[in-house]
Amino acid sequence: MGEGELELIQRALHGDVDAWGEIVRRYKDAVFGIALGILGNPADAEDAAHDAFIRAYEGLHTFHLEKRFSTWIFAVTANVCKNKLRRERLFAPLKYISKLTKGGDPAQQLAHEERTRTIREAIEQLKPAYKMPLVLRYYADLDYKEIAEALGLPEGTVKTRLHRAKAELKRILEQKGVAYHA
Amino acid sequence: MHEQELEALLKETLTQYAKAHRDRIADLEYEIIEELPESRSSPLWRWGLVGAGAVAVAAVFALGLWVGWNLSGAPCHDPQVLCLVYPNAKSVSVASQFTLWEPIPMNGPDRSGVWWIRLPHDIKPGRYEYGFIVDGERWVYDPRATEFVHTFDDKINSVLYIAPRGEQP
Repeated sequence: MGEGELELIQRALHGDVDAWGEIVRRYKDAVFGIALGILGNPADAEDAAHDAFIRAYEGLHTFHLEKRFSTWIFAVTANVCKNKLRRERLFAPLKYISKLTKGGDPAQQLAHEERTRTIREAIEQLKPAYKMPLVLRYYADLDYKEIAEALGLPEGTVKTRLHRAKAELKRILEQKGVAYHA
Repeated sequence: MHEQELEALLKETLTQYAKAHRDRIADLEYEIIEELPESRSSPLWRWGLVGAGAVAVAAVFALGLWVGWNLSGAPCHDPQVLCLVYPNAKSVSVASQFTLWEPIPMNGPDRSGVWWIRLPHDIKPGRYEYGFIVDGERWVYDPRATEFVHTFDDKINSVLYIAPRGEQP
């Protein structure tokens, strides 16, 4: 746990909302990033991050204090996103393209930008069941065991889904003309 | 593109995408704080009430204080009681200068996961350092304390002041 994190959680359990505010400040970027990766739309990701922190506060007494808080809050986030997808059948088209600000050769930069955009579009096309472990693995840096815990899946299933997610990405990228070598 | 390159690009893509929209959550902590009730209607108090009701119906005072303590919520509102919320602990003890650092098992957990212990009635006025021992090994300080001490062996002790009888602490 991060510095003073257990104390903050304990204080939040005793009803200290400022302590929970500090937890939100520490985790909001990660939670928002996960929600954005899964939902693919910044407005929905913002709502999901908000809901995740409220729900986590309400269910904080179910958190096992000896476990990693990050894994737990990411699991709550993934579940909020899963429900949102289920509820709204939300498969948002990609509308928001961030600008890269790297220097260097403009042609190279453009190619890199193009590739990043293509990958984001490819992620968008993945099924939620594949997208969730992918985002938790490559954005939140969770290992297989933590992803399994977060999503309530056996570790073997997580490995399989990640493998299939990458295979699917490969197929989509090839369709888009991006050469791929395993 | 090789697999490692794909993985690196995945990470970069997701990170940049989140970064580009981070301003959306700039005030998220303040929004959340505003939305939450100031004092959690915590399971602690909720279950305390439920437990107290059950005790009133079933016990009719005959089972006495012991039953009251074990079926109702922990009496954490009492300044003579130390409490710790730790729902998943198997045991919690308090160790303090007033116990000569001998771990004394705490009561609990109640249905909200609260462990508690009443201070000895003959405790002398003064300043006492203390901490909780969870599952016999983990030193945990009291988040409700108002003063803490960083010990030489890199632990944190909580501090408790006992006022002379009749005086406010």
